[in-house]
Amino acid sequence: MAASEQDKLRQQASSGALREKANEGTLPHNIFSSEAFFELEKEKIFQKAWILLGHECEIPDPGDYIVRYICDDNLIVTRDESGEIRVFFNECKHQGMKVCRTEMGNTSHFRCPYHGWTFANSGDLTGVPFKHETYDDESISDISLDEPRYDTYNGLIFANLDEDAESLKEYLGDFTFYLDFFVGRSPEGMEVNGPQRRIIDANWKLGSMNTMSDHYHSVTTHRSVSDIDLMEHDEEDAGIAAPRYHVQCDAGGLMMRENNFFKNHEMRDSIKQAFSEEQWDLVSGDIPMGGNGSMLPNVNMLAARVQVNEGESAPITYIRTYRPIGPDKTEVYTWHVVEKDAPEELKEKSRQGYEMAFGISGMIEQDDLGNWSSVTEVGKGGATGNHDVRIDMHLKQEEASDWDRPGKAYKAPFSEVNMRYFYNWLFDYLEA
Amino acid sequence: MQTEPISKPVDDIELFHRVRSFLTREAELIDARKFDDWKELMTEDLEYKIPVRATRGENTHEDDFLDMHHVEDTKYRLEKRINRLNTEYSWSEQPPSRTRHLISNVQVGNRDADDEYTVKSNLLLYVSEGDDPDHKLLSGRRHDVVREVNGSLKLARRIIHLDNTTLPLDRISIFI
Ligand code: FES
Ligand SMILES: [Fe+2]
Repeated sequence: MAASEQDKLRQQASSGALREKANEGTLPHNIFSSEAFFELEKEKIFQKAWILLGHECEIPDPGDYIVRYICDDNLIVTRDESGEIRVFFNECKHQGMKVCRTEMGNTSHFRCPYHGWTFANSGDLTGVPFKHETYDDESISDISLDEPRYDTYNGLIFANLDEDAESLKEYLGDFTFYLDFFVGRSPEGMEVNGPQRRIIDANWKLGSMNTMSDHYHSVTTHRSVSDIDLMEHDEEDAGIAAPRYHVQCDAGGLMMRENNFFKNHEMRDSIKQAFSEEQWDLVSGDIPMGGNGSMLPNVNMLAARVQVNEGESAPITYIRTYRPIGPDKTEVYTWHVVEKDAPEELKEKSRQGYEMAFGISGMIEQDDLGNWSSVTEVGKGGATGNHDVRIDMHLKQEEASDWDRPGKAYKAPFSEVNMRYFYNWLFDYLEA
Repeated sequence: MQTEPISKPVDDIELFHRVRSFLTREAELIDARKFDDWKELMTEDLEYKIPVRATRGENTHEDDFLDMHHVEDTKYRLEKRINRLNTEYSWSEQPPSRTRHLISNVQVGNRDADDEYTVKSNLLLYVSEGDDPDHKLLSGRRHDVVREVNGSLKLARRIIHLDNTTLPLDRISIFI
C-alpha cells in the first residue's frame, strides 16, 4: 500500500471517520493489513490498555518466572523472595540487553551476559563487576529494573505500559461478572496448563472479533466438528441456530445461550460457592447460560464440553491471547484452564478435551486459522485493500428488553453487533 | 526416562530390518494421505503424544516439557481426527498439505515385555502448502513402542519431542 494510503487510513482512524463507517456496517479491508494502522494500534492500544501476560499458577514459588511480551516489549513476570508477583522490563539498566533469555524458570537473580550486572528478582541491582574501578557509588546506587504497572484479577496477570491509565478494576468494569465464568469458577482458584505458543500469519483483531461476535461462521467453518460429534450433544440444546444473547459489557463482549456447561459440570457445587447469586442464577436458572467471548482488546475465552473418550465428555475452558508482531503476524498463546479443586482425573480429561478441540491441533481451532490468515492476506491487495468488508448483520436491531444482567444484549442466533462494539471500543483508544 | 539411550540394542539384524521397514511404511502411508490404512498400524491402546517444550532455566535439557501437549491422542481421538479429514468440511486440509517424513537415526531395543520393542528415531518433517514456495520444517526425536500383534508390528506408543518451543505452524492439521 502506498504511504499516502496508509496516512489516509491513520487519519481516518483518529478523526472518527472509521468509527462512523464501522457503525454503518463496514470496515476498509486493509484495516487488517496496513502497517500504518498497525503502528497506530501498537501505540494507542497496546501501550495504553491492560494486557494479559499469564496466570499466577505459572509462577507458584518464590524465584519462579515467565517471560512474556506486549508487542515488542519483553517483560519478566516473577515471584520475588517475599512471594509478591513482580513485573519488570527485560532490559538491563546498563546498556539495555535482555537480562533473561529463557521462557521460564526459577532464579533469585538475573545476570546480564554483556558486562555482568546482576539484578535480584526484586529488580534491584545487586552486583556490578569491578565496581570500584568503574563507577562511583552514587551513580549506581538505587538502580533497579524498570517496572510497568501491573495487577491481577482472579489469577490472571496483566500489565499496562501507560503510567496514567485507569486501574485494572476500572478498566474491566462489570465485565468481571462474565470473566468469572471462565477464570473464577472455584473458591480455591483456577489453574492453567500451557501455554502452547505459535505464530500465525493473521491480524490480531480477527480472533477477538470472531470469538466475541461470530457464531455465524460456526455453521460452515466448524461443520466437520458437528459431523463427527466432537462436542457433547445436549438433548435440550435447540441447535446451532438457537437464539443467543450478544452481550456487551465494559471491557468485553460475549455470546451466551442456553447451555448445560454449568448445569452438568462435575464441580457444580464448588462453582456455586465461588459465584455471586446473580452469576449462579444466570448459569443455572430456568434457562442456564454458557458461552464464549473476548476481553478487549485481545483475550479470548470459551467454555464447552468435549467428547474426550468414547461415551465420555469433559468440561473444557481455554484462554487465548494474541501478541501482535506485525499487521500480518501474530503470536498466539493458549492455556487450558481448570478448577484447582477438581480431582486429578477430571483435570486430565479436561486438558485432553481442550487439546482435542482447541489449541494448535484442536479440531475446532485449526479450521479458524486459515480464515483469519486469508482475510489478512487479501487485505494487502492494492485493489482489495480498499474494498469494504461487512460487519452489518442486524445493524438496526433493538437491544433485548429481557436482559437484566450487567451490560446490554441483543438477541439473535447470528449477529455482528459485538464486532461493532469491538470497533467502537478500539476507536475510543485510537481517537484519544 | 523416555530419552535415555537404548541400553540393550537388538542384535537381530532381521528384526532391525522389520522395524525399519515398519517405520518407512507407516511414514509412507501418512505422506500418501492413506490415513485409514495408517490407522490400522496402531494398537487399540495407542498413546500418541507431542508434549509442549519449554526453554526453562539456564540449562535446558532434553526433558524440558510443560504439563501440556500439542497432541495427546488415543486411538479414539486419532480416529476422530481421521473421520474429520474424511468429511467434506475439513477446511484446514483443503487443499491438503504435502508432507514428507524423513526418518533416520533409528535405534531398536528390547523392552521387558518380550513382544514389544523400544524404537527411537529422528524426524525431519517437510510441509508444503498450496502454491506457497516456502515450506515449514519440523524436527524432533520420536520415542516409540512397537508391539508384535499376530505376526505383524503395530505402533503402541509414540512420544514426539519436537525441537521447537514456539511452533512455526499456525495449526497442526497434519500427522507429525
Ligand atoms: S548491558 Fe547489561 S551489563 Fe552491560
Ligand atoms: Fe471458530
